[in-house]
Amino acid sequence: MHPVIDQLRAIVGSQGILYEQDELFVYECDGFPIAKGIPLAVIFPTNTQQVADCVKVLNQHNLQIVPRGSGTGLAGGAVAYDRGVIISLSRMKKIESVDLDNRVAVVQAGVRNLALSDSIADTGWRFSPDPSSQRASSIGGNVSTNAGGINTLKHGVTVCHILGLEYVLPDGKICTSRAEPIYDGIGADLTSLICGSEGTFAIVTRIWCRLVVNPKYFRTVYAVFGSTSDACKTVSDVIASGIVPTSMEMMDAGMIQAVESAFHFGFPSDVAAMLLLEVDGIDQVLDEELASIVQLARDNNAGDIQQCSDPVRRAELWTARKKAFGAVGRMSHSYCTQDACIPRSKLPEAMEHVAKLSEKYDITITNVFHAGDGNIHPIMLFDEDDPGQVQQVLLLSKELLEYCVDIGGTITGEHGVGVEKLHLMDKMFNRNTLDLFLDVKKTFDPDQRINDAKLIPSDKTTIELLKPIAANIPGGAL
Amino acid sequence: MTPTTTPPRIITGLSGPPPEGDSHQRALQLEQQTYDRALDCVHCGLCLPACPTYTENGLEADSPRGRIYLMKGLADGKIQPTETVTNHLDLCLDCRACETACPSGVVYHELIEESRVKLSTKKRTRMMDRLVHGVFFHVFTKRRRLKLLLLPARIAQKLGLGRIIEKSGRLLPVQLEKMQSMLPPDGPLWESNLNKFYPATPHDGVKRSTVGFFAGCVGSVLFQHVNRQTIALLNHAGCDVTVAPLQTCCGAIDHHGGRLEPAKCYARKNIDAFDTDYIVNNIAGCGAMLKDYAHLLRDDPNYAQRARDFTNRVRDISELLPQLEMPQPPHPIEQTITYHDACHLAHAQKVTKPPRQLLGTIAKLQMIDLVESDMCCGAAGTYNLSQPIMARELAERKLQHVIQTGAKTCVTGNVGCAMHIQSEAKRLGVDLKVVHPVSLLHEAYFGIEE
Ligand SMILES: Cc1cc2nc3c(=O)[nH]c(=O)nc-3n(C[C@H](O)[C@H](O)[C@H](O)COP(=O)(O)OP(=O)(O)OC[C@H]3O[C@@H](n4cnc5c(N)ncnc54)[C@H](O)[C@@H]3O)c2cc1C
Ligand code: SF4
Ligand code: SF4
Repeated sequence: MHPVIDQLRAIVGSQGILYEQDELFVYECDGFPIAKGIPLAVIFPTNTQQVADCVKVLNQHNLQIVPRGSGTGLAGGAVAYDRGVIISLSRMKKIESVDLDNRVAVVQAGVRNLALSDSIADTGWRFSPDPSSQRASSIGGNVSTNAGGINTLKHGVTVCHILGLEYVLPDGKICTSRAEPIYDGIGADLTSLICGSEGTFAIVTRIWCRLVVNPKYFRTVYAVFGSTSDACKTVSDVIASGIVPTSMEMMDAGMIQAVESAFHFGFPSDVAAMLLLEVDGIDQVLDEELASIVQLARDNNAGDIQQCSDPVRRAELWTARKKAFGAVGRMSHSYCTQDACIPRSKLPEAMEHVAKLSEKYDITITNVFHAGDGNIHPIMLFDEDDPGQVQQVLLLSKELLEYCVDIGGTITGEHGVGVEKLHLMDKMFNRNTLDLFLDVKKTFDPDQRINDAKLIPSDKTTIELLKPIAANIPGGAL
Repeated sequence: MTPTTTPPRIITGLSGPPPEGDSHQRALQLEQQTYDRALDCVHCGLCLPACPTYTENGLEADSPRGRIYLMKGLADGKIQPTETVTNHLDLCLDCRACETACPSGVVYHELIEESRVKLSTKKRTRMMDRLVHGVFFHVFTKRRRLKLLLLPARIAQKLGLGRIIEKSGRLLPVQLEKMQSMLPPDGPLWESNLNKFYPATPHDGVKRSTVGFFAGCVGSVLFQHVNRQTIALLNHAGCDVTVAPLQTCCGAIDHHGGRLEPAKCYARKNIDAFDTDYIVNNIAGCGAMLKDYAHLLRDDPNYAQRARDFTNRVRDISELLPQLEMPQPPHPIEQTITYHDACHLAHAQKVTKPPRQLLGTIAKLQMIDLVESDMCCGAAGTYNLSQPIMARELAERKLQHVIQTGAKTCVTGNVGCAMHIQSEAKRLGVDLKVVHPVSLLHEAYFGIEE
């Protein structure tokens, strides 16, 4: 047994640590089951001080530290590849205070996104970020990946809703920034720097969350189309018209089928694409906005357009959308969701390109995505136990993301880089910028002990996913 | 930044494919269909918050995703069924909340049940385990034996000795103490049997259906009054009710305990016993098992088709009543209640709205929503006897939410939940009455029973 185990046990107690091989096995991967690694141990602190004490002990042993929320991440970020130790936040799930007068809730990092909104449901307030995983994913995880969601288009990503953070640095020091219900505007915005850093700077332990009032009035419609490019064209026309919908989501035929077989919502079966759309705001204005949107859809050959005014139906509609990824399991044993942002005007051609790649690599792809943000999610269906298919999926992803960058997009919209997209960082950023990234990391983490070689290419370690054929790929290791 | 000269160390982030080779090294050999179920899991984690054990302890291995991963790991020969692994599988309540949450349609219970069957060949060595299992399999499933077992406890209750038994907790092993504490406070010494036939007494003169009533074993002994009330409501709604004399235990206790053959045997007997339009029950656990016969007997050439036909006719009482055009119940009930979804009703049978609708027809009855109403209370069949600690933690969680509602009555459609919640409330000194929805409906239609 590694000597660190006893020291950690002394901090978190015998119920707060796992180190037997069988039990570590389930921590081998997160929501991206391609990438795998077995940790040395998993610890379950219940408060910030325990996190800090554990981190100090881990430093003495020169071990990698991997923070983990709910493990729904889709980029292999919450996995320990180098026999590191996972710090699970799953027992730090206290909602410490809710202050509606000042619109702020203080939570421990392991609190689930929806648990916070549910706990204040009767007040008419909520925590706005709504990733589709919001029922399961932790707010700490949302902060670390700067999660987006269905209403991101209008209400913004996670960082827009974070007032302050408490975090433990990789040397065990505890810091807080902007931890008040008001903006202080002092100096560089450390809080925003931590948001989206995917656990490569610090371990987030406590979060001051901004609360917002639920919109009172909204209109929800879904429209079907005979071609994906008509649907995509509608999206860019709506945006160009100046209307900012709360959400504008698209599903293609395969996805509609999967969602229909899971939730029996009553979607038509013979269409190529569907747009789900919602606007919220001032009651009087909404009908006008809705009319313009419907007109734009009709101009782009929309078939049936249905309004969904019953609140129960509306809730069912969005639940079905949020569970769409999971419903893919009905079509295939494993899937890999790609995630990229592209200019909305390029959506139609990008969808065509996706279809071409699907053919080229002989991998079925289905699509459901935040169309309003230009955030595409081609979902590749494959079998995780078939190494040949795994390889095809990785190669397809690479070609697809490079294409997205070439047309002015990014390699991720919201799921993060993790290990999955690490090899594309140099496609996205020039050398100077990458060096700056690493320098910033080293300011927080000089010894590169926390989530090293994730998100930011490291000069110490590389985590490879495609070893066997790396040599065949022009341009270097993948 | 100081440029480094040494190139980065390379770590591979992929694990190899499942090991090939001798299948006897694979500790768990699942049927192909069941193995495919495990593969349906796409590892998304959306089921995590629905799982009571994960919610309590935050361990991935005690989540549905983790357990599926363990079972698949066993089937692939990647891990061995060590005590740690089987403990995680044993701690599962088989409450099926993960199935409701899973968008991918993983039929989890088939996976865990088959795995348990195949892993349970391991000898149960501990004396206490054997005793408890003996009681489960040989007494709980036989009505007469159960009545005999209960007789001394009932006499003690009648003589006011219950307190002494409760205090003697140290002498009784925790499981037996739990069994005794779950006895409903009132009940006759020797429960009389139901008649074989109860003719319809329709409120509007219209006869509607023939119903076979499934009485259950624990239910028919401990909750005979609920059975009588159920029959009265069905008669009132215009149904002829037969209590098929050849019916037997539903088989759930054996099935969950990994004893497949006896479970199938019960299933065949019950299929032979009922020839009515509907087979109605008021115990969610039994109902879920009856609805599972089609799956249980899928490979039985003589019974597969009959089992499917049987399953299609099974209804929980709360499912059937709303279809029978009952009038508005005449007696108001001035009470505040809350409703707890029994797992085997909500998750196994997906029945959540009908009981609430039925209760909603009762005048003056105020129903307050229960937080986490569909999270398991820890009863889970015989779980509260085999995993008393987790069962208590979950009951405490449930009771905390119940207390928040302010209701002094908790309504639930399963005997097991009712006994468990009631006994835990008593242990913690919570003033609470747990009743079956049928009892409230009966009161609303026929007034207070003498
Ligand atoms: C079905 C499904 C749908 C999804 N939909 C969306 C979506 O709509 N939008 C979206 O943005 N994402 C989505 N995701 C991805 C994922 O849910 C989000 O990235 C989420 O924010 C991860 O939260 P988590 O608690 O699961 O974090 P984890 O997966 O545990 O961790 C994610 C990363 O953050 C780090 N981390 C976690 N907690 C901390 C902490 N406290 N301190 C420091 N670092 C930490 C980890 O090391 C890791 O690198 C989806 C995932 C699934 C499976
Ligand atoms: S929700 Fe379903 S698919 Fe997702 S992890 Fe759980 S069991 Fe697997
Ligand atoms: S059946 Fe219940 S206890 Fe078991 S894994 Fe599913 S949700 Fe958890």
